[in-house]
Amino acid sequence: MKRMKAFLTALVLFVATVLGCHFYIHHYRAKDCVSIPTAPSEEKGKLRTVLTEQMPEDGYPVFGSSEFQHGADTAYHPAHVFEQTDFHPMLIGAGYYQSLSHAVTLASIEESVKVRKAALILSPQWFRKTGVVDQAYASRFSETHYAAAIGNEALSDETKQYISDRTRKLLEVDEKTRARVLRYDEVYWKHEGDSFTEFRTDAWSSFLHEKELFETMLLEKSLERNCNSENALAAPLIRETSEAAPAAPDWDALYELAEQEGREQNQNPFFIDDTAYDRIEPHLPEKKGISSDADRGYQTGPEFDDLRCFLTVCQELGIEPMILVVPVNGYYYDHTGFPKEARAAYYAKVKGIAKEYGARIADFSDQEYTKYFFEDRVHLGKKGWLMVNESLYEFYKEA
Amino acid sequence: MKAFMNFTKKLEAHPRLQFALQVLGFYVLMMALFLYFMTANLSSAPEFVYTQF
Repeated sequence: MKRMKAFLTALVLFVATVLGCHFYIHHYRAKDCVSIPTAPSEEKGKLRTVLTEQMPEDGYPVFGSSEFQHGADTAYHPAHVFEQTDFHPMLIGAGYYQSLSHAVTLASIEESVKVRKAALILSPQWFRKTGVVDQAYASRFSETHYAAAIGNEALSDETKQYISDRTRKLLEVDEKTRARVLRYDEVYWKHEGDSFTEFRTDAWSSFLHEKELFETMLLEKSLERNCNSENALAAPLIRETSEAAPAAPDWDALYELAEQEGREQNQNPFFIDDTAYDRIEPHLPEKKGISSDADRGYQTGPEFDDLRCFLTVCQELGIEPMILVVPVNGYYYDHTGFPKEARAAYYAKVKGIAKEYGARIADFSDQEYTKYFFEDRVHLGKKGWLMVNESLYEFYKEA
Repeated sequence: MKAFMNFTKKLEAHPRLQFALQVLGFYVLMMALFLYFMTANLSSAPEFVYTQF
């Protein structure tokens, strides 16, 4: 009896603490800090509450993959270039985030996107024959994004069906999540679930929402620290400001800096960062000519339909998309023997799809041999980031 | 071990302290469970090793 009393007293204290936490995390708002949207954080993309709460009013979502985690400590990464300007993009993505998961995320967060634009940085490596790897998709899958996307009334049934079919196929490696996805379809899209299914789906969703708010608070607190810390880099290169002309990146000065740093740091056969070259140099003999039979390389596979799905989501939600066609590293791909014709066919195919949907295209396919464009074999480096940033900025400025 | 046994015997002489410790024990247990569920990665996806392209 005494123990029962102790248990009940502890339970009352526990419930009071949980209610206190609930109240705190529901009212917690990170201070106005531009470093949160542009932070190259892997966890951010999965957390719907971070993306919706922190979506900048002077920016739009920029979807990509592992490039966001590269060059973050340089003067060319968007986190630094746009730090003190009038444009702040919300960077969403990390390695193995591809068109399909971005389509789901966009459909989930679209209400928070005030500037009705979105950019997608296409990596050619997404377009391998297999498309997105199922285990990678499963490990990046966010149930809160999926539930919100599938319940988005603005999406057509055809688009939802495509997202649902692809997701169920890719989640065959994760049966438990797949079963919940079926229930989300039933309850939030088709409205066919019985009351028990509805109850357990709502209860699980509420738990996930609470958990996400908790994780959001922890992530925002950790990212907020960057707002106060002294930036190790020099002050961003921006043009002189006045009230009439708000701060804009000084592109000329940035390109000049990239050229100068490239001459100092990228002097190797591929014109990538010397540290990256040193890492791959021992493996170069085994890579020589390894892709010479890839005549149809990057031209088939399900990623093209996933890209179409992303563009369809944009169309149905009234969001203007921009597709950034990032090239392959010409020097390195020549070394592997990847045929130039296959590369050209890939660029033509993705640009054709973008045109089909009336998307704006930022085409960098002619930059395969631009020195200092890449940091390593595949990721954007000094000039690559600058060109991408410049087109993001121009796209934002266009009415 | 001996010290622990002595401590429990002493506790029997202080029922209020005994009660408070029991409450604290249950509370810590519940909070540990709560914090685990709030922060744990509950994904049942198979482990995926991220490698560069």
